[in-house]
Amino acid sequence: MIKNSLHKIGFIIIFVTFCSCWPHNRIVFEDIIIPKSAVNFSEVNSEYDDYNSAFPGNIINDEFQIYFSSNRDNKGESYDIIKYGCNLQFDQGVAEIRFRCQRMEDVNILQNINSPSSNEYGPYFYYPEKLDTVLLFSSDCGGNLDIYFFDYKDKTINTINEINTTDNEAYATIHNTSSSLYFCSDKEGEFNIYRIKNVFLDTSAIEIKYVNELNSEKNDKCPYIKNNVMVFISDRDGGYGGFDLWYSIYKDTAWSKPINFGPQINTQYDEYRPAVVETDSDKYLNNLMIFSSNRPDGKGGFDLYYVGISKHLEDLNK
Amino acid sequence: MIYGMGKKTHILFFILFVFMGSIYGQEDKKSDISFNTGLSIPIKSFEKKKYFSYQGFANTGFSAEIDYSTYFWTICGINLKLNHANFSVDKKALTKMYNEILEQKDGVNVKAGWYSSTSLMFNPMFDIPIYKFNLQFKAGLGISLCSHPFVKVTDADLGKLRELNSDLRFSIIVGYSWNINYWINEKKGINFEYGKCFVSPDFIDTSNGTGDFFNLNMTYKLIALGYVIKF
Repeated sequence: MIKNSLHKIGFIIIFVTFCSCWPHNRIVFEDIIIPKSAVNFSEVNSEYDDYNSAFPGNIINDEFQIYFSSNRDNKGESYDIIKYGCNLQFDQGVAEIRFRCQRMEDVNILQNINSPSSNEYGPYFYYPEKLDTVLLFSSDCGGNLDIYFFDYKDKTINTINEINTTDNEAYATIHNTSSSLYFCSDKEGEFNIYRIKNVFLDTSAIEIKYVNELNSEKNDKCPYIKNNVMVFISDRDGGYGGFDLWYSIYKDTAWSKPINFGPQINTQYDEYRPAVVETDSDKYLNNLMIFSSNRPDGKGGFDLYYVGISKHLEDLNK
Repeated sequence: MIYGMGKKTHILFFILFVFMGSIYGQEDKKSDISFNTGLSIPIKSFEKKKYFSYQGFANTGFSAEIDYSTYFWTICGINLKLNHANFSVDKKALTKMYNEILEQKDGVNVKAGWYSSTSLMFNPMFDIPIYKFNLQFKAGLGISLCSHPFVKVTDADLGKLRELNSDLRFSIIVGYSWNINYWINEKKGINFEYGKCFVSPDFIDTSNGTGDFFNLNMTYKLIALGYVIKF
């Protein structure tokens, strides 16, 4: 009995001594830095195609949710939108980030949206003031790609008749500053980016406009807007091969000339559907962008990749 | 030769010392004081410039010391040493490290002050006079007031990456030195010193408000030249 107690006390003394002598290293990075070069988001990727991500909110307390299209559930046959919850951890010594992600069920939304016989792409969350949240997405359930939205209030799927044609329309995104909805369509042959007034706020005088300053002679697709920055893809001249990621800044009622994200993000392979999530300014030094690519170092098909982009893209282009 | 002395060399020197001391030891020794200045050279992790988490990124600096010795036996004595050594931060290496981690060629700017260690050491010593020379070996411990420099790292794109406030902490210091006194006359001489010190202060990081502490091993060599007076 006494011997056991002595063993325990001895163990505690050794443990406390060991802990107090354990070296504490100097913190090298105080705030979180997301790598400036693209990293495979292996925590959520599968051997099938994974792309078209979107975030229902910002990163709060190092946690975020991500929705994206994948054909994993149907063994490569058709694409559904799936959801993951992720937690981000940061090593302050070597500036490495690690994710812990877990797939989440979303009975209320995803079971309504996904259909085994059709493809669902390009989710985008919109939070109109004084209205309920809507989830915009595109689906080919009608034979060609059309834009739909899921209304959180009445849990119904609606189509945006003002936009959809017999050609393909997809990747709707909202720009609050100009109160506009942007999307892409191949109704004129190549995919181009178009703009209409925000149909959720203003249903009068719907006029679809071709956005001259964003489009090129080649394909311009997948617009995604965060504040006054639009990220999109294009296979225009001046890139690194295939589809590349580009961005443009909205200022003085117009979009700036698109800028290529450069070789730290783009490759000779295809980069697809970027989405940007804002991070806490007090804790993160840059914002998180997730996109997909079919570059060869992935798990198979298209994979999601993450990369840090400047919080000051708007300032850098002044 | 001196710069790269190993453990075996030290032991050999020590044995030689005791042996020679028994032959050449003098009875008329009293006390001396020396004033030395020279170089303080960071070594081991304090000098290394790859991982800022536990390495010092320290450059060679300057040292100054007052060294009092009194003798009470044929080849023995005690020594009291007040030393100040400082080291600049290698801003170029730190800039390079941050740029490499951020996967960029430039953009990082580093502002940084100086490390310092001001120590008071008590050393038992051995002393052997040979003609106009005295060979001495001192080893002991003491207390050191260590200073961690202010460091501010910024990036043109990302803004402030790290800011460390300067901090002062006391810590136990251990060290040894080899000294050679060359006597110009009965009272005055020139002193050459080669020594090594180790101190591992726990600095407090006051920059982020949490007051976290971190250890930093400061190991350095001293090479100094000075003036010695016998009294």
